Formats: sequence, structure tokens, C-alpha cells
Amino acid sequence: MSPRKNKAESLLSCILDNASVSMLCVGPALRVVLAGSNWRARLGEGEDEDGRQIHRVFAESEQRDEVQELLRKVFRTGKPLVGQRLEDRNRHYEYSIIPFMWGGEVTYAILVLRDTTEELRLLEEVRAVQSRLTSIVESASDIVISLDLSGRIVTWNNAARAITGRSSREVTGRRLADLCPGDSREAFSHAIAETLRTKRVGPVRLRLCGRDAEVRTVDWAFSAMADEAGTVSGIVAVGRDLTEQLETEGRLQRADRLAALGVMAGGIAHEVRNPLAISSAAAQLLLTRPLDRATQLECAEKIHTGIERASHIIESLLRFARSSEPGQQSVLDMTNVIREALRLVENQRKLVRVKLSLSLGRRRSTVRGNPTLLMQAVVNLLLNAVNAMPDGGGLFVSSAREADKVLVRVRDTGRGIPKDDVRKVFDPFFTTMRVGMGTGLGLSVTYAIVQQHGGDLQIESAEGQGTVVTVELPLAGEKSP
Amino acid sequence: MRKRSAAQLLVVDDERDMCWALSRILGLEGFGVTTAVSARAAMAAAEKKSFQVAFLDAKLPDVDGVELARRLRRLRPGTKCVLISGYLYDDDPVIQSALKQGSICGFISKPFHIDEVVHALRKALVAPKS
Repeated sequence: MSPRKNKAESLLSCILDNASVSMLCVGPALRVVLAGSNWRARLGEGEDEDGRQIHRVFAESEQRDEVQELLRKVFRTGKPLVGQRLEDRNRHYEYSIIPFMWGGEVTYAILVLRDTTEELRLLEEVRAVQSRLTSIVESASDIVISLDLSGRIVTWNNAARAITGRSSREVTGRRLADLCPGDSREAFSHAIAETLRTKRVGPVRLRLCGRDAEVRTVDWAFSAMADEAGTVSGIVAVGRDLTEQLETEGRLQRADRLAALGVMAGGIAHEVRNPLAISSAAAQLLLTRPLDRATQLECAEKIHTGIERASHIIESLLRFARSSEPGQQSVLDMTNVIREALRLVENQRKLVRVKLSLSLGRRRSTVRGNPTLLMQAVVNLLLNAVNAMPDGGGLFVSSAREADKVLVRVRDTGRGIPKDDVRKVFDPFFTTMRVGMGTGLGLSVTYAIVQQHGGDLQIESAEGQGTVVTVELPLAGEKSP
Repeated sequence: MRKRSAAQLLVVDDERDMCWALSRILGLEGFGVTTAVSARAAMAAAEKKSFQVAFLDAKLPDVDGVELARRLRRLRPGTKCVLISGYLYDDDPVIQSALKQGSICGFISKPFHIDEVVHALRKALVAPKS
């Protein structure tokens, strides 16, 4: 070997030893001339690749013939080959063959092997995590949707497809708001804008067009999707379809209202008899007795008052008995609701000689809600209170404004709730009342109604002393002060 | 009936307008009428004055009409009581037994014809003292 060639070989040996990849220098006879230290590191004690046939080096690999073939090709053509794959002794490699030209011919070929075992394992792990995440989203019974910054749908899971009857292909790129009935569209766009501003919005109850033009009621939670740098790149919307649950709730509410009506109907009929009797007596006086002008006017006035009173009772009854659409909401004054509810239970109260103390705050106690349901909640509390005092007592009803809340309190001096029963009072159908007096739905339905209005309900009771029920409802802003 | 204008009547009902209606009807018949809105007020009035006939509402805020009739008659045995009610019917056992026992001598249900009231009053005035 010439000194120049010798120098070149030591340079090669130096490169082979210090590169981060494994390198094998192969001669034209496909024998290993030199192995880099990285490659040698994988060999056992006393093993040496030098001089070995390449076929033997990769004796355990299924691709040994292929490696040999490719090496031959490089010697033949002088062109490098890159991006080949090889599995050997349970490790994965990506390899290239680079021709080493000397005096116009290929003297050596260098096999450069990069160990990709770790990389492949990580990739596999990433794939597993990804597929798990996908299957979580796809198996969720809740709607999980991702949106871009303009509110257009990017991904759409199975639940979303099942609930709306629309496939992912149909909706991708469309605005979520466009899949809502008209009255929810603006609220949807607003919620999305709010999410971009505050990162998180919800739960918001909005309606979504379901299968066959059916409208679904969905509770949504929106959250901003941020990348590692914290830049918001989209929005995740998770929605729970409450349609069936609300229907069941509605049915229970109707059942409870009918039961309360059954309890009150007789009393209400009797309650109407008084003003009727007064009006009737005054009319008969006008018709059959010679009266002076002043008495005639007095009679007319009593007739009018009596009829008004009777029609107020009937109106309250009708308002209570009508069915309530879940979406039917208005801003109403709780003091009016309380007055109307009291009118309906008036007779029950009088029958058991319960004395009423009413203290309604002077400031308007406005809340946003469903008038029928709120009246039902108050009627239930009043009936419970009256039923707790079969031998008479005191009924204290108050309403007040406190900060941003309206508090309605119903207190009785009745028998109270035994300690063991306090926890059960919210259970549907729990009752200690006689058959025909109550269904046991009252308090559970009342609690659901209060929660539905974003409020809370607390009970304090002492056996033998009475019970206080406090309902807190969020104060609603008034359009005109 | 004007001849008997000396007769004093008592009307007890927690509904002020009902007291008004009854006292108008009875007043036009020429009687002096006192009204009370509770059993307690009625007893207080009876302490001061003797009434020939008392018209009592069956459901008063403090005491039942039938019980008030008993108390009034204990205080003033000559007082005849007529029960008026929007809750009870004349075939109610409570009414029937009160009629039998003599604590009341008549029953009127609400709403009523004013002639029923006048008729009950006449009947009460001529009824033998028990």
C-alpha cells in the first residue's frame, strides 16, 4: 500500500470511529475492511468483523441477500444508494451505501447504518396514544367537536353524527351555528366569540338541529385549544344531549302539577264560592230590594270585587295547570308568583287554621324563568308547609333581594322533618303524607325546577319545631329601572 | 217583621264582604245587626249583648262554627244559631248531628238565595226555646 493510500485509510478509519452513525467499510470482494467503533460496540467479546464476508455479518437478517446485492450494485455503478431499511438482531436500521472512489474506480463502499429502533418504538407509542385518544372521542356519548378560529367544524365525532344524523364529511368546514335552529344561532356565535376571549365558556344550553328536523336540547362547554406556545389554534366544543332527560323531567313536573291540582282542586272550588256568594247576594239585593242610590252603588262595587276575586283564583289555577314549554322564559317578579301560589293554597291553609305572615320585599324581585314552573315550585313549598301543620300553626312567607339573588323563604311551625329523613326529602316519591295528600314528587321536582333556573334550595328543620326552606334564584336585570 | 225591630242579630264571618252582604239583607228586614270576623270577637259581642239569632260561618280562623254555636248558647241559651258554609253540605254528618243536638237550628250553603236567609231567620225566631 502506497503512503498516500495509507493516509487515506487512516482518515477513513477516523471518520468511521467518530461518526454518530455506524459505518462499515466494505471492499470489492464484499468483505469488511474496516468497522467503525459504533459498529464494533455491538459485537461480543473477541468478535471482529474485519475480513468477514458481508453475508456473514448480517447472517441473522432476512435482508442479507438484499444488502449484498445493493453493495454489488454500488461497486458496479459508482452511484450511492440511500434510505434502505434493514432489520438485524432485533434492531432496525436505515442505511445508505456510499461509494468511495479512488482513481476513477470504486475501491470501497461505505455502509452507513442509522439505528432507528428507538425512533420506531416512540412512533409506535405515539400512534397508540393517538388511536386511544381518537377512540375516546369516538366512543364518547357526548358530542365532541373541534372548530377552527372562525367557528367552522374541523372534526366531528360519532356522537355528533348519531345525534344530528349528519356525517363528518357533510359538516366539515361548515359553521356550527348553521346547524342550529334560528333562535340558537346568535347565541352560538356569541359563545364562540366569548371562548376566544375568555378561553372557557359553559355550560350553555343551546338547541341543535337533530335527525328528521327534530330539535335537540344540548348543554355545551366550549374551551379554547392552545398549542404549546399558548397560541389559540381552535375551539373544542363538548355537548351533552339533554333532550330525553328534559322530557322525563317535564313528565315528572306535569305529574307533580296534576297531583298538586288534585289536592287543591276542592279547596279552590270552595275558595271561589265566597266571592260568588257575595256577588250573588249583592245582585239579588239590587234586583229584589228597594235601595237608595248609595247602597245600589255599594252592591255594584261588591259584585265587581267578588267577580274579580273569583277570576283571579281561576286565572291562577289556569296558569298553574297549563303545560309549560321548556323554552318558555320571561322576566317575572317573584312576589307576584308568591301571591298567586298563595291564592291557590289559601283554602288548604284556612282549613287547618294556619296563620299566614307575608313579608314581600319592596324592591322588585325579578328573575328570569318559566312562570308555570316557578309557581309550581312555590305551590309545592306552601303545600308542604301547610301539610306539616295539621293542627294549625304559623306560615311565614317572605321574599327579599340580596346582592344578585332573590331569596324566597317558606317557614312553618309544623312537625319538622325527622333527622333520618332530611336526606331523603329530595328523593322522588319519598313522602310521609297520607295517600291522596301528596305524591312525594313535590320537593324533588321543586329542587329540579330551582336548579333548572340556576338557583339553589336549602332546608333547615327541627323535629317538632318546624321547617324553613330557602330558595335562591339569580336576580334578573330589568329592562326599565 | 218590622214590628220585631227590637230583635238583635249577630253575623260572624271572617270575610268582611260576607258580613256586609248578610247585614244588608238582615238590616233591610228591620233588624239590628252586629258583625264579627272571628269566634273571639263574636263571644266578646255576646258578652255585652243578647242576640236572638246568630248567623255563623262554619270555618272561622279560630274556632269551628258549630263549636262557636255551642259556646254562644252556653253563654246565652236563648240565642238561635244558623250555620252558613261554602265547604259543607246539609247532609254532612257534622251538620246533621249539630241540628239534632239543637246547637244549630238551620243551615245555609254558599252561594245562597237571599230569601233562604230571610226564611231561616223567620224559622229561627219562631222556633221554641230549648
